[in-house]
Amino acid sequence: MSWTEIFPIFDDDMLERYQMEASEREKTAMADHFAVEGIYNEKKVGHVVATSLFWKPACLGEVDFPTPSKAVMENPGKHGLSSRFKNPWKHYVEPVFEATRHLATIRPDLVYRVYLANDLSFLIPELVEVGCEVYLMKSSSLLHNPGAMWRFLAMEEEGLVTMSDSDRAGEMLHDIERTELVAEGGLGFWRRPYRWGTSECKDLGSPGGYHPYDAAVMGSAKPFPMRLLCESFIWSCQKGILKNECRIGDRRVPIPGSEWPGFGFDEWFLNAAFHPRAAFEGVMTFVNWRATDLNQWFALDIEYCTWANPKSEIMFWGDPNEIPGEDSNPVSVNPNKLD
Amino acid sequence: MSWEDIFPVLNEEMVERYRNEATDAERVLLGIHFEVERVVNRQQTGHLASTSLFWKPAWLRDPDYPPPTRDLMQDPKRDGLVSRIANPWEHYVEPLLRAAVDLGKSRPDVVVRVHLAHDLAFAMEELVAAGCEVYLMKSSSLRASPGTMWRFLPMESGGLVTVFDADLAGDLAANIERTEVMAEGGLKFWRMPYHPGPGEVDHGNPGHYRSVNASRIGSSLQLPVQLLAEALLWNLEKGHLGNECTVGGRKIPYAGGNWPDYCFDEYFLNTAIFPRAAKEGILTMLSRRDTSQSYWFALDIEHCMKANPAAEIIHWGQPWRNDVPKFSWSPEEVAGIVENLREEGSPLISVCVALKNRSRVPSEAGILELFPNCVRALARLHEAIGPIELVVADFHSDDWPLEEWLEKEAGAMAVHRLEIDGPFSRGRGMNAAVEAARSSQVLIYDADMLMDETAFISGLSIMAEGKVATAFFPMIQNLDPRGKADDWYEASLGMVFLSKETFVDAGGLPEFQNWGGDDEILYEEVAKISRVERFKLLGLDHQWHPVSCRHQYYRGESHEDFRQYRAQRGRDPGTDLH
Repeated sequence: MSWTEIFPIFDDDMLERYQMEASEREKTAMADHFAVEGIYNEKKVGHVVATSLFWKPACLGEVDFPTPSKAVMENPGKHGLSSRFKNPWKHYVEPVFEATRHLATIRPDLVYRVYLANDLSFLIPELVEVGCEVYLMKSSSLLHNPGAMWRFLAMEEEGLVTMSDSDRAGEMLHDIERTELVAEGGLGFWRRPYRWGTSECKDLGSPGGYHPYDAAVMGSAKPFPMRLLCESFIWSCQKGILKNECRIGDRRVPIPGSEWPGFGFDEWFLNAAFHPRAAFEGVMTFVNWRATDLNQWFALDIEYCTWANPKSEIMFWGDPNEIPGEDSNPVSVNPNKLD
Repeated sequence: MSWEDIFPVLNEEMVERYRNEATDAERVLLGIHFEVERVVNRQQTGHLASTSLFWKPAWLRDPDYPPPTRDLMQDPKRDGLVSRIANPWEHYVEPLLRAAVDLGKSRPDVVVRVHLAHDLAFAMEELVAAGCEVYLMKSSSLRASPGTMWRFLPMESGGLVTVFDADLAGDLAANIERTEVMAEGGLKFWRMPYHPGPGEVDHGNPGHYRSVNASRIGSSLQLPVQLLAEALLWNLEKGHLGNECTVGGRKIPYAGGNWPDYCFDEYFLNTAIFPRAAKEGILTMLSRRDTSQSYWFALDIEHCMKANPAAEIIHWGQPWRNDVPKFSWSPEEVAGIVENLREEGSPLISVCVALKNRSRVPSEAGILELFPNCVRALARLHEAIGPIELVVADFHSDDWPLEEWLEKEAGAMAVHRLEIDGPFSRGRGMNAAVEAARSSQVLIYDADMLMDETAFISGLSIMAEGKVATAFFPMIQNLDPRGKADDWYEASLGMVFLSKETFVDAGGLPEFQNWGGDDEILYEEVAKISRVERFKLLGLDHQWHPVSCRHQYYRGESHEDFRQYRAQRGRDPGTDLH
């Protein structure tokens, strides 16, 4: 039994089918999701911190937002819009400005690259002014995706890439150092797995909610054909060639967040298309001592990674005092007397 | 970071030190634990099923038993002895005899070898008659060890060995097949790791992680088991090896690492056998319903894969159920379940409810009589199935005071009403209600629930079945405003069938003063000490009401106390919020 028997894999045959069978029109439609209209403040550096910046409803069935402006994003409620955050501007945009300024001071050798939704082009001057490299996309994203996947395009290039969520921009330094550590150690990628907390995943042990990658907490030291993978993956999902379900015994269980272009599709892509390939390049897995959500599927994942590349390694981090357990100091009385 | 950085390992250097530095007196003292006095009914075979048979208290702190006899083992309580099992002869010896006879017919090529405690030599004749090969030991064991370790001694031979517990002899045939599958696949050892407690209980504590369950092992290894056991004991005594895990600068005791107490055999397996077996290739058997595993299991698997890339996990058994099981109980079955739970002079179960103003709830659909509907349904169950006690912790409801209607609607059902002062707290009310309950079984229940007979009997049946206490946290079904079945509330942990003792031992419900999370904590605490069952229970329905009335009588924001509780215990409640 292995990872590939339980979790769906977007394999090379499926990729080839896309190349051979997709019509030119379909390929153009797929490419449009990831096409870049223009690059602003382009920089040549060895390490890119990549994020996507777009503003769309997260899930299928939600009503699209009107064309964004700073005023609407600062208070969507005032305009009758329902958004996860009261002030998306403050939540998503301002951290990018702050982080870029901060990074320019402490790590001028890096570049903060923003894959920017077309309808947010009004942000270009401000982003450039703080030092960002801006890739203006032709698309404004549909929902949570393809916007959340744009940042993966940075992994096409030679060099180091640290992935970021715009709302995590202020917490990047440790992630940047992890990417550099992985590169020095000769591994390809690092990641932080986690599990969704639905009852079926948490209480009953369904593999459907296990995520080998958190899209915003990962880094890469090796180039990867992400554009082709993204395009062919979406096409295969739409054609029903790749099933979005896990197989466990005679059961088929759904994978939450695997509906295009809804919330979570970016990590479904990482799970099914990227992870099976990246594992062969060597993966460092960061696990916090408090990560009590990592269960038997994490172990199966580790089996797969270590089999694919024996250099892969789990790296625990955090404060060991946070491990639940009896408080104890080194045992002073030896209870194991032979008599 | 690797397995060996965290878990104690008896390495080759320690074994060498024992060889070179232990005195003859020490070797004799250690060797006596594992020496065989004589072998009876010796047989030639390529596959041994190996077990130990002894009768001792589990812990050194407990007083020793007198020399055993068959009579004594059949009813130790009669002689004033404290034993975990009421009839150890029936529990340990009889399943072994039956399994040996059955195996002699179905698999005559496999030999059952019993490592028999010296003071149980009187059982020799019956064991031999059942077809067992008997290794009579010089020792009668001290406590759980060395007795539990004797069964590992056949791993010295290099032939196929399936290790089992005498009381689990019924599973032996399947485990024998596992050993054969393992050997055919070129691996040398199969095991079932475990981490006591389901879900996320104590996941971070490495001292509770077991790489090998001592009663479920198969092997074709050739290991100097007795030498390793002696070397482990000697190195422990000399302080060359600790019985604790090391995480950074922190030392965490390895539960069961004390000689000769319960679980020392698994400490031995974890420390001395597992690291050596990993090099030869381990097959890991994992149940598809096992939700107890943690990142320590992943570290274990990483170690196995690096030591031998042919190592593999195999899943077995049926996956969890997320279907809606349909139960049907005959009158005889119902009578049996009720009889199992009945206690003289006590109700069958005490249904405990904590509430404030749930009798006339205003809504867009009109006035909702949530609690009166709940009581009427319970009164019907009382009439149909057996004596129910309803214990109500009331925070001075004034929407329709309980004294005006409760007794009448309850009919013949006993009602115990407690008036609780202060702001509403479901936990505080429920703890008081359970304390006042007269039955040993309680149902933690909400005032807006309805339950039919089949669901009620199904809940009782789970409490009544088996020898191990089981708590049942059913998932409930929501009703829509018209009372029609709507969606399932899979995350619900609020209704619980369990024993009063389990509830108390788990610490009861935390007494939060705002909505949410108290049931999750009870679930986690109960799961540490009891088996837990959980599935969708048809016929256990949640009446519709405006969501706002959930929070109406609480103080503070939803989940505020829960977040604080988690923060104080170092867990991040945001982990699941992606």
